Amino acid sequence: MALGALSENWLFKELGDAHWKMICDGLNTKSYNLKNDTHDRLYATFVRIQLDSRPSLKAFRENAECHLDGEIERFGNAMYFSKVTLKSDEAIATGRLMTTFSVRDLTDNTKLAKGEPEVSHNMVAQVTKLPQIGSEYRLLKKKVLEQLVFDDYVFDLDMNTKPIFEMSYNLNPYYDINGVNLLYFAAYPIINDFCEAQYFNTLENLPSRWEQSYYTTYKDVFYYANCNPSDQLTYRLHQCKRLDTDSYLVSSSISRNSDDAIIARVFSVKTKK
Amino acid sequence: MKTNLLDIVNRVRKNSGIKPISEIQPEMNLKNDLELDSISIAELVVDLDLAYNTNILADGMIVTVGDIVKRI
Repeated sequence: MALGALSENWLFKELGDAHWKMICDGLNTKSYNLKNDTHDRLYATFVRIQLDSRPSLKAFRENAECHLDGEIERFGNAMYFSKVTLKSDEAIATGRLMTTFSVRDLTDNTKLAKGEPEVSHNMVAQVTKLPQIGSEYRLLKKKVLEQLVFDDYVFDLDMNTKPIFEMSYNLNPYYDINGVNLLYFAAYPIINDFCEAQYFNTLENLPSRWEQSYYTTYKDVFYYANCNPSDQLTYRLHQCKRLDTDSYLVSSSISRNSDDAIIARVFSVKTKK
Repeated sequence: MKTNLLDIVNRVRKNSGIKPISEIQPEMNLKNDLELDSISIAELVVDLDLAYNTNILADGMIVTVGDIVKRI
């Protein structure tokens, strides 16, 4: 739990762990034994994580019994797509995850190379059409998509106009960096939310602090790149729209300061309930 | 067979939001000349495997159109 709700950070880690475990089970190997054909160690690289929590993470109660279920499929040998669901009696959170594999450059986190595991037998079911979560990622990254739509949520993707809010973020290496010195996939949404709160907490008419009033109903992280632990990040808020009296739709981006490359785009819906 | 390969390449390009091309040459680089990113190349591999009932990547990665032609 965190801030009176289910911890989003914990949930991202749990979803990622379930996804990774399903890959390893399907390949009948341990994660540390995953290697490409030239025997380089392969690491999971999250491409997109879409989280839909109804009614919101606030609806998960302390001591509630929760069940985690997942299924996974692959497109080719390198792209894996899972759907992982966490259910309690009062709430349900569904994560859709997309990963590839990367080979690390030991000196520079901005130079991760794509990889493919060398396996003799793959038990993960194969699909012959690129799943929607992957085709949307490709079109958004190529700037072909004009809007991102999920149910009633419509996010504008234009980044040409001046951001509504912008701030620098100093990485917390003890929290944001993982065991192999990469920016942790579960850190991206938290960095986003921390910066987002800095903006909303300056607004008038907010009865209490943003992070203790509004909870995630939807979070969609498009991972573009990583960064070095010595880098600094810039958060930009591109769209903020009130959906109703209780909900806000927010779209933002995170860039690394060393070369101003966008490392993630993040789309959220936060609600009071 | 070459026409089929062009059709597959153009279908992947279309799915990626790129205009179709009228011809392909063996020396064309999939990334630089055909503008395919890693997701599009993965889609191309799956489509080729299905269309030609083969495993395109069995002998390593593909970089050019020529690499594909040799394997189908």
